[in-house]
Amino acid sequence: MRRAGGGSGTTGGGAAARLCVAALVALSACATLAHEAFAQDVRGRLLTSARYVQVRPLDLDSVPLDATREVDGRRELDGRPVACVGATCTYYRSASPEHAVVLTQDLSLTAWGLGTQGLSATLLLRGRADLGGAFQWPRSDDPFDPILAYAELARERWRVRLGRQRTLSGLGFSGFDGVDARVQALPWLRVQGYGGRSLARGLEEPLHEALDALEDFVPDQEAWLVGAALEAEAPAATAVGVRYQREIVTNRGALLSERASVDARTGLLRPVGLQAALDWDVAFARVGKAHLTAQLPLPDGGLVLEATARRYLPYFDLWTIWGFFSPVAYHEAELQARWTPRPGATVWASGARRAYEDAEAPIILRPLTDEATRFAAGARVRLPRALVVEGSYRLENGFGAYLGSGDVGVGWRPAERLSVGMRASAFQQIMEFRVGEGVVLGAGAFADAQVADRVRLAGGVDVYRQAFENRPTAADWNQTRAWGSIEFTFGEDPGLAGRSR
Amino acid sequence: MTARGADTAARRRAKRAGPWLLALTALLGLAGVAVYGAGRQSFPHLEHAGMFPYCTGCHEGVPSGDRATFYPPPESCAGCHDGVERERVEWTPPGPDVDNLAFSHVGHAAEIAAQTEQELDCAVCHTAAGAPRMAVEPPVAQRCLACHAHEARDHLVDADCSTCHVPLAETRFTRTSIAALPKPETHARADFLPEWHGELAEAEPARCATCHTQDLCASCHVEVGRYPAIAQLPQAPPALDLPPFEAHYFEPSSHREPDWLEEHGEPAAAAGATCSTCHTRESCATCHAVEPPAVAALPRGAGVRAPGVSTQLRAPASHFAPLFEREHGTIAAAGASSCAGCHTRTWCEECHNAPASGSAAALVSMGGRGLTHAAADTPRSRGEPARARTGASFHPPNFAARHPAEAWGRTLECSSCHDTQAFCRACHTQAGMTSSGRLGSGFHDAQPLWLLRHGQAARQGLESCASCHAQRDCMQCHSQLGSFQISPHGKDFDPERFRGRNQQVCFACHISDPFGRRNP
Repeated sequence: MRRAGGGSGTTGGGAAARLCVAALVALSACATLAHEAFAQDVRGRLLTSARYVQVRPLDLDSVPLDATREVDGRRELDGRPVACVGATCTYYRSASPEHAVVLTQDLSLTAWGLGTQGLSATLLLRGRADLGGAFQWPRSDDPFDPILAYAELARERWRVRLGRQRTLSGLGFSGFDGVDARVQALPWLRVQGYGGRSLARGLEEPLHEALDALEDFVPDQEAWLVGAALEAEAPAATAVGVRYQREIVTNRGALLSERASVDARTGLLRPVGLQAALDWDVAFARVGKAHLTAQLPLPDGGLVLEATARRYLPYFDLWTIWGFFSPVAYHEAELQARWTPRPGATVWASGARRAYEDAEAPIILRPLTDEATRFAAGARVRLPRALVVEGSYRLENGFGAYLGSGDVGVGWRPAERLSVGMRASAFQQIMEFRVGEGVVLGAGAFADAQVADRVRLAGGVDVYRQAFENRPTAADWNQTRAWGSIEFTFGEDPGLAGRSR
Repeated sequence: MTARGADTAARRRAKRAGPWLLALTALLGLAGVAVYGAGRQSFPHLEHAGMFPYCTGCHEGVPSGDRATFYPPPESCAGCHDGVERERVEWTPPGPDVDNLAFSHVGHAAEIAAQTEQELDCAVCHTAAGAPRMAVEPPVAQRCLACHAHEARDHLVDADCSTCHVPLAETRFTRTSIAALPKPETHARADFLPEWHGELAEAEPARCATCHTQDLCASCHVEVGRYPAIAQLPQAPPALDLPPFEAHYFEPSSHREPDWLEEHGEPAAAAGATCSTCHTRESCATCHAVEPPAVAALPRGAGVRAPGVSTQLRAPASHFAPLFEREHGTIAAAGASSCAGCHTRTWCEECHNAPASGSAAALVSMGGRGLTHAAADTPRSRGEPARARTGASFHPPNFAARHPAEAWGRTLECSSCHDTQAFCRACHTQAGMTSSGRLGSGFHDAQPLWLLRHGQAARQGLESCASCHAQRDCMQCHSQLGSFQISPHGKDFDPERFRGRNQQVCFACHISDPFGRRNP
């Protein structure tokens, strides 16, 4: 089997990518220089980051049936399960290591003082370039994305945004090119309405443009998003947000999504703090995700307990068939505790157990497990001489996969503007109903330096040793990852009259 | 003894007494110098008792208010102190007093005469009770209260200051004399500044003006114009050298409430809010990247005298909750406007749309679990450098290798940030993990007969399935034109409900050919 070339498939071309990144860098430089003219009314960040990632893909190989033998009712090749159809058996083996190098250029900018009181502009642009390697990191062939680009006019009681923007709500992130208006209807009530051309979830392009080459049944028309929300506040740190959102195609012949959400928090039962959220899929007439969290700080102030009851049912857009496959939800109970024995030291632990609803699927041989447990614990200690030590352990024992991982990190600040550190990790996992994969051990180092008031450099490198178990056809290998970034900040915070932060 | 003999005896006695008299005179002169000093030589009224029957004999101008004749000319002393009868003295009248008295002898005397039909005797004010008339002392306030007791019991407590004093702004006091002004007992109370002084100032601003100018209030109060009591105080003229006054700010009890950070927005925005007493706009800009309207109403620090309260960037207590970076969604969704008070929109994107794991947008916590901001760290929305970093981001290091288990056991929706097709499946395809057909390639090799048993797993973890499998993969069995025509719908599926909402997706399975032979 040949490994298909992937990619996000919107617009490609290495030269075009480099051109876009270069243009973005030039634009960023102009913005940085121009900040002097608007020193008190512009604030932004220019982030250039690069990643080097090694991966070892899988190749699908085949052997004749005769080369395999039957063990406990299934075929195996040298102790490894194979899938046989007819006279041919297939299995996955490790391919040669590959690498990917990705360059990302971000420019984020917020400008005020544009001649009209309350007028501001926000910009978040991203350029990407694939700098080489046989493996193409996802989205690296998408050279340019305007993630945010809107103008905002704010007054005491209302605010209007126009342009490319994203709503962040209990329904997740919804990007659109349009208008968003919010009004302080009452001292305790805000009303919001928004709408515009919808962008694909997790992407910054219209659905029919972004996914047409990647997926079936993608609508061939523009999608439009409309929504409304209410935010109410009450004493005792109580706030409730209610939202309705609907997405349709241009000819209104198809509904892509119709959802509602409620999010609330309150301190009415102080010292217990409560948070609750629920989203409702109107189209499917069912509750999607919901949770109720109670947090209780104990009187001495050093121990905080938190309990959560959670429901999770995945959401799928109506243009896909997935939602019609009747996914089932899980219900989970989670307990967390955090203890701060002294300033600068924290120990925490959490545990959860979940159960899935009856999938009502045919049972062959025996049912799969419909339960899962999670456990995590960690600690963070701030030591003298600007040292921070942090460690955590995590256990995921799910119905389809298993992960046991431990991480340790040490950070040191030898100077006010310099942080260095090292980290180590070890994890063992079983992936998606596969035979155990073995153990990965890793170590890395990183540094972060504020080389000037507005310039920051950061970078790190990690090496991982992957040793397989139960897979004679999988080769142990070392994996290297590295990253680096340079960050420029410019402009001033509004209202600080020339002082920067 | 003859006359001539008596006279000789007298001369002889005078000769013998002469040196002693001379010595005594010298001693008295020295004493006088010692007592009265080389500077101003005050007049020893008591020593001149009996010589001046009337005060106005020397202080001729007092009754008429003629300051030029308040004191006798220096040469009038020479009438007696001629060096023969009495030793010469050097006396000069004192200069005009630098005081803050609103007192006129003429007016005061007229008032007394009008009220009592009697002439006011100088000794009433200038001599202690029961003392001889010439035991002259400067008048003291308590002596005033001897007559004005019906209006006040104590000079500095409840006397009407304007009766006797002019406002400080009208005086020529020096910095030293201003600093030495007596303070009422109330001013010494610990709660005077934080609790009392406003009330007292509102009740009787004229009293404050006796010792204070508006400049003192402006040393602390950011917006002096909002307080009528302060506005009533005169401003100090440029020539008045005021002693410095360090601003004092006291935290109201409301500010110490645990949820004050979350709750202060409403009282700040309310009509009549008193934030501008202590806060300049810069105070709020410490936290608020985007100015709420209430902040915009505050004066800028550059335009006022008071420094305003210095505030420190501090995250609300909620930000330090366990796993806040994963659970802040509800808080943000319930009150997004509250987040906007401190966080710019691009701040959210630094994490939710970060370009790379382990980059400069990294949070402090290791592995994306546990803490997101330790108690001493500050949010990065304002560009504050974080404390010593441990190099992780929202996802733990090497998440690309260990995300499968988390994807299966997800509590957050991965597709909020990662498009399933363009991100997840694109990577899985390159990694050789995507489906190659309905008969199975043996990827899920831990379970025998996976093709027959995957239904339960699919319904329990369909998002994970979709990250590798395209829709058409599943349709090869689960569609009307598929090989086995296995309905994927659950028992509660309502087809009519969806036919009205999106009939096209129904066609996907019920009409389109999963093998590509025919599509709607």
